[in-house]
Amino acid sequence: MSLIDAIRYRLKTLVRRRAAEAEREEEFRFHLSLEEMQRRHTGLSPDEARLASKRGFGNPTSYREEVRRLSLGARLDNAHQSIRYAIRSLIRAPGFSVAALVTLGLGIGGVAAIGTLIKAVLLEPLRFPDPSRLVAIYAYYGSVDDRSDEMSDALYFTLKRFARAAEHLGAFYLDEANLSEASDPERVSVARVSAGFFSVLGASPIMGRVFGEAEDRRNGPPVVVLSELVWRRKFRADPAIVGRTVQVDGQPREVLGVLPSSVRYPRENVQFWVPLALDPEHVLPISSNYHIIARLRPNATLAAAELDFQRSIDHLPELYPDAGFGFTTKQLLELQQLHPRLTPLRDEVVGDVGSILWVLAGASAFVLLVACANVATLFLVRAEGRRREVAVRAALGAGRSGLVSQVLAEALVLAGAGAGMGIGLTTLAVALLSRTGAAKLPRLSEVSIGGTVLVGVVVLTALVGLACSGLAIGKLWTLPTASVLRSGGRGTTGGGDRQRARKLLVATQVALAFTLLAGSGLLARTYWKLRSIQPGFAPARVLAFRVGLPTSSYPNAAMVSRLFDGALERLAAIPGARAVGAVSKLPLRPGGGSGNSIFVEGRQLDVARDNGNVVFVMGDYFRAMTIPVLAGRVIDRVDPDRPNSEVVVSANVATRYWADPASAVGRRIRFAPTVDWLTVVGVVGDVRSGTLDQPPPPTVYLPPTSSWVTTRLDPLQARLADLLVPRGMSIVIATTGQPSSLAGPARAAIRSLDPTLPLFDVTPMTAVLSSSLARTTFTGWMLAGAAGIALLLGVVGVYGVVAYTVSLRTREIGLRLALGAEPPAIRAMLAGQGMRLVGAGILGGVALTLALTRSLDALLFGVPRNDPVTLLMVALLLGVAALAATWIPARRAGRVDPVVTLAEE
Amino acid sequence: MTLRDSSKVLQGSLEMLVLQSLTLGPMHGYAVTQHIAKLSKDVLRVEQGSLYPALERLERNGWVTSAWKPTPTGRRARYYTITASGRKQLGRKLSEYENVSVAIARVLRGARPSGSGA
Repeated sequence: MSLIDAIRYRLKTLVRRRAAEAEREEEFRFHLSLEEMQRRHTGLSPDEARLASKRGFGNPTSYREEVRRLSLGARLDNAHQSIRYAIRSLIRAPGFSVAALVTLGLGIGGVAAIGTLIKAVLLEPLRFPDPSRLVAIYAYYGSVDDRSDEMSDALYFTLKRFARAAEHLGAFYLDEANLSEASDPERVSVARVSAGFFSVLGASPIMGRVFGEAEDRRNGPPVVVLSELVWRRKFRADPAIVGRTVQVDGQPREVLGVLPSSVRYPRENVQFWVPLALDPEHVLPISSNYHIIARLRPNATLAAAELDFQRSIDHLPELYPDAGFGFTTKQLLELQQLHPRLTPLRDEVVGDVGSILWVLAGASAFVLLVACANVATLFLVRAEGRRREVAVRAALGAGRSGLVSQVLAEALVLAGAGAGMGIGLTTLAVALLSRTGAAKLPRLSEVSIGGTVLVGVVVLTALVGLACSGLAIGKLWTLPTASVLRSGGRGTTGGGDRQRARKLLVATQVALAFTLLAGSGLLARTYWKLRSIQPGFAPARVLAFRVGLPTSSYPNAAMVSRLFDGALERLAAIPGARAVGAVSKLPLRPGGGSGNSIFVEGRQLDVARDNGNVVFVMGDYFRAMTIPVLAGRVIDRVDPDRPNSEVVVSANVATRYWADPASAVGRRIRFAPTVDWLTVVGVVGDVRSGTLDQPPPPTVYLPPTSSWVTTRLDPLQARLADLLVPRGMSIVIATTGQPSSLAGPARAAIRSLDPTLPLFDVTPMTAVLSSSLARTTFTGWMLAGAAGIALLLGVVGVYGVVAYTVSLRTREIGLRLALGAEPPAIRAMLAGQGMRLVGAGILGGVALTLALTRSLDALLFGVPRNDPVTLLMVALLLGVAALAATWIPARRAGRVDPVVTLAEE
Repeated sequence: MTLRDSSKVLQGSLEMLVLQSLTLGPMHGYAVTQHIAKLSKDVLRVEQGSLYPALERLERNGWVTSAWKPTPTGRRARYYTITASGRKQLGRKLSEYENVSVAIARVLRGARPSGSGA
């Protein structure tokens, strides 16, 4: 009853504010007239009576104000008024406002930008129906304690037959193909997928259909599903595309349908899906080439599904007893100790980028904290400056709550404007990121500033407003009015005490700045460590690009070899080309290399140890890359029509099996127990071909026409051999001049051989090297930016405290100087005060850094996470910057003229 | 600090007086002041400046309601009526007040022998 009354009352006053005012006036008039009448009864003259009753009424405006203040509408009015007043007073203090606005804008913007990224990349579920049931399957090999995301076709069919936990299973293989639709041939990303792939994802096409089991079989019809992207870009969104024929890798394929751009699996840039066409009758359990994904049944947990998959794999030997290359499947499983492992598909898509994003989130939160501390300091200073004004107002009867709401309004207005600026910055940053792809983040296409982020920003803004104004409000609330008025609003010696909150804030800023500096310092050291690593080749003046050959016109190794032979010959004739070669896997570029077991003549195979990368090379590859030949020779020009049986091995292969490079020459190896031996003719230097921070992998180099590729005992192995033929090779040209100037002539040379061949990924090797450091560089720069802002704000804070102290103590300093104190002593005293603050901040920073650098572990290389050198350098840098900041006001104090300051009073 | 506290006490007792007056029946603001003056034998004079804010607060809390009605002389006036929850509140306040006044009386009695008779 009373609650409803209260609500109704409030609504009434809100809706009928004007009418209520009028009623109030009428009520007052009525009261006055009755009073007047009564006084006249007691014998006063009409005038006297009116005067008396008005006197009895007290101050009419003040109580009207009070009555009005009680209603809700009036409260809104008040808020509105406070905000208008706050804006006016902020405009009157442009220095303060701009400083606070920029600081808060950067702080809020940073947090909002990283928050947007984290939400889109890490937190948002994949854009497929019921995405929590999607998993990627990995093979864990107990014998080598390693895991691989590639499995055999035999395993796929076994799981498909026995695994109950999976509602759908899909296998796929990542490939590339030449698209020669338009005049300009290009290389595109193709996924060869099983029919179940689409059911797993639950992907439905925007037009046409996807292929089913009927098309996904050996010698099935040539069909293709397009991505929306390629459909729009290459086929101008042709509404009649379904049923048309397109050329993929020189082969005509009928378009079945188009998948929406939300389907970006297995790769961000996949353009075509074609049938994988695995054949359950002809499988090779020993060869792992396929990725497997699954949609689990609604109630299946990861652990239960893993167990179910394990049980299914136990059926592998009975289903496919022969593993190939002379192994039984039982032997193979015993050698490998294979266990299936499941990962949510989202984690697989996102990869290891989470560690970077969380580090950046921490950094941006730090910057926002520093920004808040800084603006809080500004508010404190402003509150100090207003002590007298506030005291006078309080003495005249203004409520403190009015003052408080005004300060709060100022803070909220600033934080709100800062948030607006921050959202602008975020939009800019997100656009820039997805444009440049600087961080090579997955799911960047899904990033947008959504409602959740906006709500987050609003909440953040309110918190920031409170944090910034809290201390100042506290100050004003407890202001001892009388003593302020007595002292004329100026502090004399109480300054130190009044500055305690400010000092704490400044020390906090220094500590946060220290931590950010230390983080970016550690990454900078990592970067230099990585840069100083010898990759095993000389990247200077080397141009690299890729050429891909379509299967249809280059069906076998001989034809591939012949084409590249011709290409290398023409490229070598270009003026300025010093040495030209081709390689199937360019160092520091992802993909392309395949791991294989290495069987050494006269040795028993140790699965865990005896494996390495198989890399195809042609021409003058080693000379072009300046990879030294340590013993023997490189493989000479080979006859494309005859199986070659020569290999070159890296130094670490040679020393592992034969003590030294020289004694390796003439020895024999092979990659399976049933194929021909290959003879080592030379040993070359080790190359860090994977990533710079990993040791060089043992590598075997051989020509595309190696007997390992060209001779096969049965048709099944011949199919595998077909996968081995290096149709996409990187060509490297060592030049005498500017490497990029050779891109044009190189393109012309390839075109003159075969105009349908695209040339792509044209980059100088130096750029390959630096882009392999992209993540470290990106994270490093982001942290450095954050640290720079924090350092600047921290130093400004230190300067502010010392400068303010000086201004408060000018009289005292003048007195000291008049009494004979030496200026250097005064300077030292003031600077010492500032430096004590910085010292405390640095100590706090060290503690914070030691507690937090663990989170950087994934990004560091060759630097211990608590690297004392870095910490010392950072402390020095901060110390010097802070010393400069304290010295300027301290020096000013030393120059105080005692006569002038004392005469001022 | 103490000023704020004491002003709150004063406010509270004014509200109590108003509620007490309204238990007699609906009346307008002027009648309330008259009633309080009469009850206290002219010792307590309620200024309009305090009365109307007090009525506003009481109405906001749902302890009184108000309505415009014609007076016996034919003019229009806002009449305030105490609600059930207002009566409850008055009861609570009265018992509180009694406790306090008993306590004050004890203190005053205890203080008397030591001196001033004012």
